[in-house]
Amino acid sequence: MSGMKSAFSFDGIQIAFTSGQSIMQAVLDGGGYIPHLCYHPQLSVHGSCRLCMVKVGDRYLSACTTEAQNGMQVENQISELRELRLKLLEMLFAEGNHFCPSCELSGNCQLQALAYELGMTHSRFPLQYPTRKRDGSHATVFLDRDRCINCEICVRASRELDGKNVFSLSGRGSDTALQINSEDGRLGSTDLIATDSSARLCPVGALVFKQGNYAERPNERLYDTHIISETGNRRPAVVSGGYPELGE
Amino acid sequence: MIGPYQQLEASTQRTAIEQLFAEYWPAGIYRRDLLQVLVAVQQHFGWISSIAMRSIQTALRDSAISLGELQGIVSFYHFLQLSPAASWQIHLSSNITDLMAGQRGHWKTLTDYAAHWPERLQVRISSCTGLCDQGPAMLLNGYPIARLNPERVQQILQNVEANHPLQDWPSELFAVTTKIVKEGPVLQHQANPDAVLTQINSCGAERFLQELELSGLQGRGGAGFNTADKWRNCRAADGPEKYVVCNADEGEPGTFKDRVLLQHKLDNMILGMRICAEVVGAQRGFIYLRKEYLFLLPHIQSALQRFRQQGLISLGFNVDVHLGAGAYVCGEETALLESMEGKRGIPRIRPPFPTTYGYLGKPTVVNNVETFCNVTLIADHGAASFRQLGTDQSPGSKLHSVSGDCQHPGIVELPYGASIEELLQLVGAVDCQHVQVGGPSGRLLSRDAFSQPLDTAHVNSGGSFMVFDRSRKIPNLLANFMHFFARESCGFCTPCRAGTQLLADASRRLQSNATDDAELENIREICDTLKRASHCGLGKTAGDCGEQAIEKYSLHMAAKSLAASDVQGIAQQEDSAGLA
Repeated sequence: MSGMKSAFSFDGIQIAFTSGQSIMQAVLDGGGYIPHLCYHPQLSVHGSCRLCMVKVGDRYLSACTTEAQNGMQVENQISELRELRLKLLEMLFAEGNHFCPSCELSGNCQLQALAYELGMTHSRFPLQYPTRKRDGSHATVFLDRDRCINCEICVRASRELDGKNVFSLSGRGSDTALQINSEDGRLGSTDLIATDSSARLCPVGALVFKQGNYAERPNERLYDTHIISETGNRRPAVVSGGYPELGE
Repeated sequence: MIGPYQQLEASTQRTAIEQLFAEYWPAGIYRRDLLQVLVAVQQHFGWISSIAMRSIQTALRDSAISLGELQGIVSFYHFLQLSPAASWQIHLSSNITDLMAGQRGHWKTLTDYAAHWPERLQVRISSCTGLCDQGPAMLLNGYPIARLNPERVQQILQNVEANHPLQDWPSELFAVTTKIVKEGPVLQHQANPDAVLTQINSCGAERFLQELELSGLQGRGGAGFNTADKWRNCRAADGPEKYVVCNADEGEPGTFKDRVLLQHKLDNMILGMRICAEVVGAQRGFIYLRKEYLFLLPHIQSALQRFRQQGLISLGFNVDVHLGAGAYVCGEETALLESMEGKRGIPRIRPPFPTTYGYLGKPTVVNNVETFCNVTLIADHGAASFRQLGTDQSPGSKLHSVSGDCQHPGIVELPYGASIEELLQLVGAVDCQHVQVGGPSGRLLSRDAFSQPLDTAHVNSGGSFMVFDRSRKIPNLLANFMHFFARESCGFCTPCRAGTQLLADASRRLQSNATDDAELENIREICDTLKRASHCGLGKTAGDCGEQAIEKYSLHMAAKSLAASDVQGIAQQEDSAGLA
């Protein structure tokens, strides 16, 4: 332990970090894991899903938006945070339509994987059954807004990785919904192509490929066989139109 | 004042829009002007048509914007609409005090009419319009009408029916009165701008900052942050380009003290901004005025014009007005800055704070209207005089906007440290059971807490003070406040977007007694999630608000004997807090 290096305690384990890194970046770089959905290392920080809430002293902070500080004592795997994250997950399930058994992303979905991880059996909150517009106008990519969690990964990926501007959010509060930046508001009228990062990074089943789904048998899919805290947040090639996975 | 709105032919509309742009933005439209452009189009035409959006796309100088993004901005703000306008647009204030004064009946009368004549009248609800001392209130084509009663509503409908041009309507309808129950130093202060500025110039910025520090002035918007510290941070921040923003977006339900200050102490406020600019080295100031206070715009602009003519504000420091468009969350300073930049009003990740990264990424001071008035008071009379009132920890005085069940609703300026009881006596609240101090995002307090002092260390308040007598039921308060938070949540983070909606639904069931212990437990869990995990203060305070109300409700239910079942509560009058 060199005194020069910066490090903080993460559930009692020393995590090294470089100046300016967030708790999330440092932990992931160090091979650890904090539950998250809206964070992606190649994209600007969002901080909306709130699943990465950690505890520092008596404060609750989102790990992705909080800069690591030398000597910080960060708590992550404690029952109180598990319960908080479980409630957030249940809220996400309650506000959308997440019909896991028949969803194209089932078994490869990060929302579902986190539900497994946290031992979620049901949502304690009343399901809202939204009925937002679906969009099947694109040749290869299908959009189901009722499975969207407003994480804006596609919004950011389109702008920051693809050099395009295909997605944005509209509305406010519970009416917030993913919107397509084309003149007619349809995905098919945009310059989105299947190889775009924005089409391949959706952590849930909101943006899915039309072809090649259900290729794997249940019990053989990524999160059937692995837990997300070990694999990290991944969307395998098999549900990304066969295009290579964009790793964390 | 514009009305009735007319359906224009495409070419006429296009020409009118181009004229509007040429008049207000002769140098062209930039991305940061976007919200102002949209507000202007909305106010002139009653809606944002696709023709208008296309004109905006064409007129934008510095960046391209897609139709989708434009719609994303429009759909974020309550007072902007994408659907064609009826000739007359009404927004009914849905604050609890409006409902208590009979708003439900007016809602029914007006929506019945609108259902028959949708092309003539459109009726929507809005959050508090800042007229709680003279409610129930509404906005008609953006202009306030207070003291609604069945006769006035009929009068409005007759004018709608006759389709009289708005300027021909009886001006009495639009009168907004000021009721000052008790004045203190801020309301009594008449500053001589020349003298104050000469004094600031002779003593220098650093000396004044020391004086401000000595005064211990805390921000009056609700958070109570030390003003001198904020200014010092901005003064120390790098870069030649800095901004001063006056937050006149008072959206906290039950607050109207900034409206009164804007009406009566505007010079002091502008002077406070001018002093701030001097201290931090800013070249430009903005007054972020909530759209509900559009009627004050001519008054503000003429004051600014007068200041310019007198050389009190100049090329070295100019002040402009930026209008909001109906979003409570924009009272949060970083959401306000986003909105000023022409974007959706989503609160930023903090740090960095506005003092180093504010408007357009430049160091910015954002202070409340009342804070700037206090700055001028301190500049004029000094810190020692300022500290004569209030407590050691909370020096000075505070303006309270009092509404609800009392004989004298209006503005009360009290030294910090005065008790709730004192305030209640001043406004003639004889049968008060509960007070909501600081609005829904503040504290719900009952008789046992009325001896507590109103100051930043005990019961802190941004200025809303709503009084409830024995006839009012906690579930109705809860439902009203939860609907408010659900309507005003920006939708960015999971707990607030989902949680406020769940709470609004649950509170409605609680109003009709259709809840059990499991549901109460669920409400507590949602509140707890909001408090701990929300991205910004809105979600946190929504959770806090729900928790306090449920706590009171549980106590109430436990002491069944107190259940006021014989009292006609407002539950029978309104099926929900949101009216609709």
